Amino acid sequence: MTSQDDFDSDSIAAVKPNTKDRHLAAQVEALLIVAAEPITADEIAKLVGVEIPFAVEALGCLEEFYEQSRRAFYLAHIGGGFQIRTRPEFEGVVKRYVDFNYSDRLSKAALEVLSIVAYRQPISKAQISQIRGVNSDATVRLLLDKGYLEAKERDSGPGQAYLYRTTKLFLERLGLYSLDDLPKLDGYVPDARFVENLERTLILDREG
Amino acid sequence: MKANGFGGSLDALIGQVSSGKVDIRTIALLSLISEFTAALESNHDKELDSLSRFVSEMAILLRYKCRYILGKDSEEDLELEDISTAEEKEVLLISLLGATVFREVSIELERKLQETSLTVPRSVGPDLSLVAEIKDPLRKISPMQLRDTFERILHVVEREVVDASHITSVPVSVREVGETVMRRLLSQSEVTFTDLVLFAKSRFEIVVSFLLILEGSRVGFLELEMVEGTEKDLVLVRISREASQSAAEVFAEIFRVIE
Repeated sequence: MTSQDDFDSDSIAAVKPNTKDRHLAAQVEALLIVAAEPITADEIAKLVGVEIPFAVEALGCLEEFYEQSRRAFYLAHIGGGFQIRTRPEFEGVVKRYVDFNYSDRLSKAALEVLSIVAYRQPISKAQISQIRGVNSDATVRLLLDKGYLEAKERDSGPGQAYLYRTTKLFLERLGLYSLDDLPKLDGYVPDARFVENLERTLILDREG
Repeated sequence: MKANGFGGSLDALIGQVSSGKVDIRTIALLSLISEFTAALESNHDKELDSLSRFVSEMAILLRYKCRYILGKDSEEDLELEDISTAEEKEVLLISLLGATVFREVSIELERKLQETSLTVPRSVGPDLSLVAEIKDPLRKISPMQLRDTFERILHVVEREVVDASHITSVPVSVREVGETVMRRLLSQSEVTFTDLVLFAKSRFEIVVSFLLILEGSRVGFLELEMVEGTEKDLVLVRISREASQSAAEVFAEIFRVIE
């Protein structure tokens, strides 16, 4: 038996009967085990020394294997890469061992600013405040400190204001692979009755 | 533009209508549109600005006409200011709707945050900001070692310290004792050690005096001689006859250094 066969479990063999493919899947799995952050298919392909489609196929194979064998973890498509994460049902026991709070609670204001930047990026602080109707400078600063936002570019217009974007951490914490995975805004547009009521309120305000 | 006795720009027509000088009900808006279309075709004037201005002005006239015909609004409502207020209201409405949409979406984002927080990455390791400080820590040390390191950092063990509270500070000035010894030796040719420490205030002074005399003897400034006394042997202390000035200085220096 070669050393390559040593790590071939029966379960992986069921998903990938070809020894070469199984070896590739195991190599990818090894990288996923040691990676501190989500690792991209491109990085995996370079490290393993194969073309990207093969790396993607190996990732798919692992994902299927974890799903079929009902492992306590799954392959998450997150933050523009792939990461092995424990399943939500094991949250209790895992957090007893890990002993720190991985979740990060954000205020309503912070969540609002985050959603505005997520959909309108790149966007300046003034534009964010205009949409919300209140000054949002402090909230933007908080989100910068927490690493959810970054300001790497400036507006070309007068004042050259900083323009903000969401970060990879934002995607990770929200369990998103890319910004395309954000919920579609259409579903959140208020219905006609709401708009009518809102408009009536504005008329009453004017008359009052 | 010419319509029902009115001749001039649409802008002027709006002014006449708003001031009540022209009854909008007598103006056929369709004929104005036809006239504008014909002018467009003949002059090939398809500039976007003039087109948009025409549409906007026609919209205002249409609004006036509707209000007059329907008779729902008072004269006051027909002021141009009201039209601009309506536009502002529209802008405000859009802003409010935008804010509402983002508020609704933020609830969904919060749900996603909570949902993701239920799952933990395989290597929960250090915070990302710390990872940036340490170049690829997981490739150099194992996660368990890293965990131990964090444990050590977070739980600082207090160092064992010897309790010295029972030790009191020595209430003796070496300089003062040295000067006393010197005065006695200079005033008397020789003196017994017992006499030297006769007025010592504590045992510490006696010990310090003894050590100073030994030092003085070592550097050749003092001489010590054992003589038989009536009851017990005595130690005579005197300044050495061969004592040089430098030896005296060395002796004085000793006080300073010890002090």
